[in-house]
Amino acid sequence: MDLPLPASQFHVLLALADGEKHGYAVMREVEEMTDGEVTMGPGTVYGTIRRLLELGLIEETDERPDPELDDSRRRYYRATSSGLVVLTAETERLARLVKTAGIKRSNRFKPRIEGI
Amino acid sequence: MSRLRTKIYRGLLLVYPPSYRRDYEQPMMQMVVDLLREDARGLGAGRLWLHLFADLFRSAFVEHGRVLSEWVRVRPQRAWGALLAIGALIGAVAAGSLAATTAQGSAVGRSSLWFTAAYAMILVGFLGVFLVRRKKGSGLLLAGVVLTTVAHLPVITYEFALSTGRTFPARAAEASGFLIMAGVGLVGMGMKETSQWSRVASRSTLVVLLYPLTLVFGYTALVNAVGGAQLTADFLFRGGYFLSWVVLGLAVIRQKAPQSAAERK
Repeated sequence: MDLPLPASQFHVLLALADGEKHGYAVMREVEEMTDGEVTMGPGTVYGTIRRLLELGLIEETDERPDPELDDSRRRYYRATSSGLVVLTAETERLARLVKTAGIKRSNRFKPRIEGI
Repeated sequence: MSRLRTKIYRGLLLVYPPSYRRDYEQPMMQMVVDLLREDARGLGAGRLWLHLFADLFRSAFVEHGRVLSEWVRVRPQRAWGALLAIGALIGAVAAGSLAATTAQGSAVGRSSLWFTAAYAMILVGFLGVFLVRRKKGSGLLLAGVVLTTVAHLPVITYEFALSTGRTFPARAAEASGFLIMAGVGLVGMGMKETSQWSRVASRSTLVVLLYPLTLVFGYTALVNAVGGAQLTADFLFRGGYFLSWVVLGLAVIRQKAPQSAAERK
């Protein structure tokens, strides 16, 4: 699996990292995680899910959190073990990038901004 | 009201490739039901539909692109042939538009653009007839191409009369716009009947290419309408073309979803 992951795939994979969810719950989780900065519609969510399924990073599951309350038309997905490995690698890559950006900002951005 | 809105959304899902609809129509509908329920709790309906429309068309374009790239990967020779043919068609339209704009110093969409498009469509139609001769449905295709060709004659005569300062009944040109639509519809049905879409181009190729074309045609029609220039015959003529593309698109969209490998077995 090549990194970096596209942003939409990273967001959906992150939303599914802590357990199975259906499409609507994934959409809501992504909105919450990003403070409403990233909003995905049904087409984007299921297009991304389709791609992640093809890559083997997530899988569809038959388990239902509460069959009494749930609608049978919903489909649930969860991250696979290889999905979690890729997610960890991508998170570490992003963390390194943020660290580098922080160092560069303290060394170079600040004087330039002050000099404006 | 909610049932109507979900019906509308289900209709809009036709813009996706059939294979995608087969797999994800139900969960997407469920998601929209959830969103509409939330909308009832206070989100703005206009904002929600705007969001849904933007998401729908953006993701449908991406999905068609993916189907297209898969088709290119599996059948490269056929795919490149089709892309070449459609590229030539669009090139002809672009060249016509450029020539018209340069020669007349006019805005987008003067008559030469439409002539070029018409000739290119007729050319492609006859090419299609040649490809499918003696096959079931070829008569329908031939009828469509002939009707489209004949229906262009009053329009071309009208435009010629305008450019040379002569007179020609505008209503004849307007009426021919509808005949052209019917002709293109027949071409679409003929192509579908003879199952030649896959030979000339995949559905996704057409949809991906029709997006910008439809936008250009729609924009031109809008400019003409807002500007008030040649509002009657010209607008209807261009509107006829625009609808022709829609008819073609619908003829393609109404194809059955292709069988998966498992279903074929």
